[in-house]
Amino acid sequence: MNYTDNERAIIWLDAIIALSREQKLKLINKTKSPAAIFNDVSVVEDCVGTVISEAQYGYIRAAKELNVDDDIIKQLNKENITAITCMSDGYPSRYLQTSEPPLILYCKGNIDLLSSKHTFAIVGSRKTLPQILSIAEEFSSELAKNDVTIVTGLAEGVDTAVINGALQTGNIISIIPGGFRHIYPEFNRNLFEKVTQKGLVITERTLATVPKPYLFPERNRLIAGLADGLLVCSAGQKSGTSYTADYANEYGKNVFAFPYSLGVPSGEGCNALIKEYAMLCDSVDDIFLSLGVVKKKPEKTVQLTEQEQKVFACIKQGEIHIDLLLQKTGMKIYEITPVLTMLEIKKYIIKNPGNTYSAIK
Amino acid sequence: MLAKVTGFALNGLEGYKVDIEVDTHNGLPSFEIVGLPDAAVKEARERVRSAVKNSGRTFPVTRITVNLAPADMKKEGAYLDLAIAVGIIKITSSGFTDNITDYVILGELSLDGSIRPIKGILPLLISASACGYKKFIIPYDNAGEAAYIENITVYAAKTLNQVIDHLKGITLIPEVEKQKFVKGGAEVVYPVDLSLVKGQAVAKRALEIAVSGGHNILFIGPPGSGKSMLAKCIPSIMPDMDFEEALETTKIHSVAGRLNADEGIVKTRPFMSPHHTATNISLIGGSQAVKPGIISLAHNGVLFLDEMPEYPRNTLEALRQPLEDGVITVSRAKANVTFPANFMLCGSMNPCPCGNYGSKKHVCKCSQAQILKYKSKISGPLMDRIDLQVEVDSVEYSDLISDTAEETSATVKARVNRTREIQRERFKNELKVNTNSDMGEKQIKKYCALSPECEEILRSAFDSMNLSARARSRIIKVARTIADMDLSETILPQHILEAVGYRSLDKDNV
Repeated sequence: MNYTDNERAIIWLDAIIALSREQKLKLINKTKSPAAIFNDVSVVEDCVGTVISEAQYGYIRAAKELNVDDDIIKQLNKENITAITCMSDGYPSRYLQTSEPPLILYCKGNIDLLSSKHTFAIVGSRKTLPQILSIAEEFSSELAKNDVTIVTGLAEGVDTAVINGALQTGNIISIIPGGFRHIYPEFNRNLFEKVTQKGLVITERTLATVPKPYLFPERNRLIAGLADGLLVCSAGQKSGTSYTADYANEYGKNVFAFPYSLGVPSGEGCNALIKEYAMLCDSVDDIFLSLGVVKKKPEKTVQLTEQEQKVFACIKQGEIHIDLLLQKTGMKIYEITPVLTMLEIKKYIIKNPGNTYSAIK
Repeated sequence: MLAKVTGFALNGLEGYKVDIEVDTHNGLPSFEIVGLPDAAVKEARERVRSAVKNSGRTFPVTRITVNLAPADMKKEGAYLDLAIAVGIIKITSSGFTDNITDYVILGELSLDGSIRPIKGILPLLISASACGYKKFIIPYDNAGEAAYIENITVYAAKTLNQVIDHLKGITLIPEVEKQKFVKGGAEVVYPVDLSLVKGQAVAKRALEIAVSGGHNILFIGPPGSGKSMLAKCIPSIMPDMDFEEALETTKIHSVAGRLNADEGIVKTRPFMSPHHTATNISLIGGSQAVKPGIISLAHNGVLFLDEMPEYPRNTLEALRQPLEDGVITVSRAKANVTFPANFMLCGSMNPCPCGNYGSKKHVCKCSQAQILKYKSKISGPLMDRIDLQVEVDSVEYSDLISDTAEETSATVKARVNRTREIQRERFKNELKVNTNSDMGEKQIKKYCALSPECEEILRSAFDSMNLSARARSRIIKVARTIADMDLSETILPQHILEAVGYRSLDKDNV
């Protein structure tokens, strides 16, 4: 990967951890050319006292020792990482409309996804009901099949389900809070590899950044900024997911949330969002409508047998325990188990822990 | 003066003949036992001396040497007491009519001359009878165990004097009456019955499948959901033990000293539930004396491991080989013994370390990494031997008091017997395969041909339910059992579908 002088300068500037992102952006804006700073550090001297402190100026001067080509770009190339700076061609224009655009995006995977026509974020908390997880997966797969690029994180729970749904088509962008050397959570490393192969993983942090808790809200801002709309599948009362929704709302994007019944801890945040500004979402068509995407082909409908219809009708009324289901349908346990498994295969229902079943259609 | 008496000693589950030679000669009075006796045998000196004196007989005041032949085998336990005492009395008194070496004499002595029960009478009698011995004198309290062995005459004595009088022909001890073994019968009573378990339709159905096909089963559920109760019901729906099985089980329990005096033969299938702090050795068998472990005591019955992930990993891994072979070979410096250990494994575990995973009422506090770690405590190869994984949920109060009639164990057992009969017929020419769960890849190919429709269903099930590949042969085996229960010659789609339903742990995403 070859970088222009400006790009190299931004990569160099990004490596100086003594400066905040805002300061770096201000310096770039003031001098108009990052390459100028890179070539002669003294051009930022008149910013000392206003934008940066004396000490920080010292750090910038010291950073001249750093060899961008050898120390940074070589490493990035070695690990197949592409750096897309705010002055690169591929920089997503969506970020320019946000109040805090990232200075640089480190990308691993298919960078064409950054310029997708439609993007949509699906997020949720790590502890989510299995029924919701499979609905999230279904939504994600449906959207991805219709050329909507899905944006999400890489955590367990909803993120994993969403990635699984979209992975087949490759229309998936995962944004991680730390650098590429620190995949979090560690057990999702396999998933990370899969996403880098078929989709795209991005971060605004340098290689070795450890994903500290304060970096997660920063990452959530990137998710909200890159997507045209956002669906919150689940959120607890004080959830990071709500921050993502707040960012998206602030950036003027459509925010959707699943409705929950009372007393479900993992849904309190969703209901609160609906109360404030989010739109209630109970079908993937709501999202298609808001994005202005027309579904490509009508989904082929799976036929249910008479027996399956009977059982599905009972489950559709609400989550139901198998013993109660036996009573309602009057079937024997050995008759109903095959039907339930078939419904599960046809993706009409899902089995929850505790032998209860819920409808997902 | 020399006297000879015959006794038997145990090595694992096999008895071997011990010749007891008693000799007296001049010298300072002493009493020596030679021939590798262990502490309990050496202490026989004190018991024998007191018992002989307290029976009103004279104990010779000479130099006594007792030799236990063969001299190279270590003799353990107190069951040679009686034979030694008889030998000593034979030296000092006359009038023994019979040739007493025809008798095998077994028993521990009490100081007052009464005879105490010993462990392992049944295997001792079986081995001795195989060596051609026909007459036995055993402790009265062990008479029950002797009642089922044919072609031998057993006299059960209460005191040393009774034995001497019998051997001298003065007062004969009545023979132990023989009993005919009846399969099942009134004495087979299990403490719990399936009809006491309310609701839990899925778990009960899975239990029936497991027992019908000899599959191992794992219950997954929160604390207090009735996993142990269900497990305890397993013996009550297993087919009644036939004589061979009962005899084998009794032998092991006899050696372990776990038989009740009035029980005689074990007719109820054993249910062993070791605590998770149990050591390897107590589970597998061993110790210096090479004793059968809990898995051998569970032979022909059920081994229930409650809270399975809490067991140390190496303990669980030690179960793999006996699960495969049905026997366990315990090797120690002194002996190398093979104990039968053909049991049905029933395990239980919580869905996560805190037990609330998936619950709607409580919040699970475990991270996914913790849950994965908890589940991975049961290794893949061990999980491969567990064909059914069933979720058990906490029972609602309304279910507990509902009075819908539940099936009794007897009804289920009748169906299980029928299904087992089908399997017996199918595998009569197969070596080491008795039930569907024993099938290897070869037998699966031969007996579980799938129609294209079934193949298609299985494939789509794998696709849409994220099943791991190793689940395939287990699903087919269970489907075979379900088809047998349905009296169906071939495996039909609904059998495959039902079998898929019992693989909750194989789903990758959970």
